[in-house]
Amino acid sequence: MHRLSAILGLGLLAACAGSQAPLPSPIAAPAEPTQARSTDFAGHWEMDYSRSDNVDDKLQRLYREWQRAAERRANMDRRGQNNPAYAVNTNPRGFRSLLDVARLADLITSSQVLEIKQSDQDIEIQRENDFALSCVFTEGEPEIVVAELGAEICGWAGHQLVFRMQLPDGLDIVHRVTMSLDGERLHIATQVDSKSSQPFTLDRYYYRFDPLPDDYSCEYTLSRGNVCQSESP
Amino acid sequence: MSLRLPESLLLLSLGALFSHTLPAIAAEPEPATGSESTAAEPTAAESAAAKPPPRWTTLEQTIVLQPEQRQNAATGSVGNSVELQISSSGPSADEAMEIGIAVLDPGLAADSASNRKLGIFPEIREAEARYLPYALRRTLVDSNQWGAVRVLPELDPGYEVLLTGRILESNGATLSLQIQARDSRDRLWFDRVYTVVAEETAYLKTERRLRRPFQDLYNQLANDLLNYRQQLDDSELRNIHRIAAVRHAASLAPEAFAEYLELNQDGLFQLRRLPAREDPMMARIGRIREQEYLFIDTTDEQYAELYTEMTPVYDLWRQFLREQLSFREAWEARLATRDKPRSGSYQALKQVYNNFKWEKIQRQELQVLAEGFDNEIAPTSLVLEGSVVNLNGSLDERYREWRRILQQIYSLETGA
Repeated sequence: MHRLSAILGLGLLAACAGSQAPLPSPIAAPAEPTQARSTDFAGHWEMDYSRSDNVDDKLQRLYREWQRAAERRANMDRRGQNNPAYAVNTNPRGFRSLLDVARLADLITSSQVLEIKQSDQDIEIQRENDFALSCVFTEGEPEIVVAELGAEICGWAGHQLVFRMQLPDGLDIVHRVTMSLDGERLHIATQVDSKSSQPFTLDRYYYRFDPLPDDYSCEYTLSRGNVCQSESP
Repeated sequence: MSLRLPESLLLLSLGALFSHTLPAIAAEPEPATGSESTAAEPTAAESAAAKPPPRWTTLEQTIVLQPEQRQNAATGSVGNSVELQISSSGPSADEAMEIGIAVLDPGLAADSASNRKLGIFPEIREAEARYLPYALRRTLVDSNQWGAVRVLPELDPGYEVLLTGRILESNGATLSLQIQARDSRDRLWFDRVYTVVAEETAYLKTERRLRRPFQDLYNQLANDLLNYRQQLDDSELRNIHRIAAVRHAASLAPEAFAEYLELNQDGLFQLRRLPAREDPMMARIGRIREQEYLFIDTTDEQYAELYTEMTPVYDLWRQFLREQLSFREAWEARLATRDKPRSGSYQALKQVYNNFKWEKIQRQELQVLAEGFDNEIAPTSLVLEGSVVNLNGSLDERYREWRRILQQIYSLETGA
């Protein structure tokens, strides 16, 4: 069992939301996390590949930055200058670790379709091939769940919904869910961090879609499985 | 399934009340205990009418029934090792005590987030709180050691023996109940935690026909009740019968029956004196009590229907829970022996995430199963007389309304 204190978790959540940079258009900039305000995310969402990060492109960009930093570091070394600011960024093992968390970020944000169910009391984000992100809203307070294999905290930070998971080996995952002002686009910024790497953030964008109308209404039962009724007259 | 509550019964009972004369409850006019003093002791009478629900502070014993204790060594079969003590001849008049089993406290946490953390599904616990007392009732009836055994929507002081309790744990592998048994004097017979661990094979279909997974718990509890009763002598048994009758009367008409009861120095009810055998007020109370039993027996049928409807689904639910626990244990064992990749590597991070993901999916599947359970059980418990109401709430309300009507009847009869 993880010994993660609720206070620490709350602090981390506030810090995480507070450090969020403004998001690109058409996503609205996040409000200050001073007052909880819920946004209705309910609906069906499909990934918008044209806007979403491509992990390879992002890694190449980071690699070029890392190379430039390494060259600057080499130049300074040749001139006998020593700037510790470049020490981390140019460490080959550091970039290897960043590659690892980037691969994981890609893996855990690969769901193409989301279905979000939301009420005044809770929200559930069902993701393809992954567990659902769920959160119970308790009077504006974040929900903290400490389980055997990891601790979770979720709640509102302004109109952003934040899910944070702290797992063994220092693995730290934060999903920040934001909606565009017109309610047609969804943005999920996922930051993955580990004890041996810098944090890596992957932005995924989704657009709303309406699923085909279903002629059947189904209800799951324990002994008979799905029991469906035709809704046609 | 639609449950029908006895609305027509209310009207029928009013008519029957004035056309039949049922025997009075008080069989003997002599005082059982206490003095003839008529000094007012309002606390006893008031307590008789509205005794607060029992507190959970006097736990005296915990009984744990492990599977290995229940293996039949001779045959290797897994039968009930706690044998229910069954009477072939039935109880004597004094031994035929009426038992009321109150619907259990479901043992829910204060808020939904806490229930989630504890793995409690509130709707299922609410259903269990009504289901488990009926399972116990069946066992007590099967033992043939008692008088009428009834499941009560709420506490009723007029029972010779009253069982109350709460669910501490119910997860398919383990069932743990805290049960208090008291007699009409308010003497605590016992306050025990009964925990039973189901065998691996308890849910196999071939076994299911033979016995219930947690039947040992009910057998043990029934035997404990019997053992306690067997320690009581005849005068104590008669006293319990009389006090129950007077407490019931006092709950309907405290002003008329206050003088018959008092609390002794131990805080137990005792009779100051008894109403005369021919006491017309007691005769009225007796008639009213018979009508009340008619009502309770009808609500009892509702619990019986709930029990019949719920049993196959509930078995399935507990079987799923059991399987999940077993699967988890096996998975954790595999995890412990697996080679660990280099810390911080992609493989290590992926393994950490997948472990967490697996646990989450397990929990979420359980939630889906719980909803499936509710979808099957909810209509049973919610549809009454064609309107959608909650069985528990509705029965409670109806029961209170029924007792209010009984008090009115009594007032009309006596002109009070």
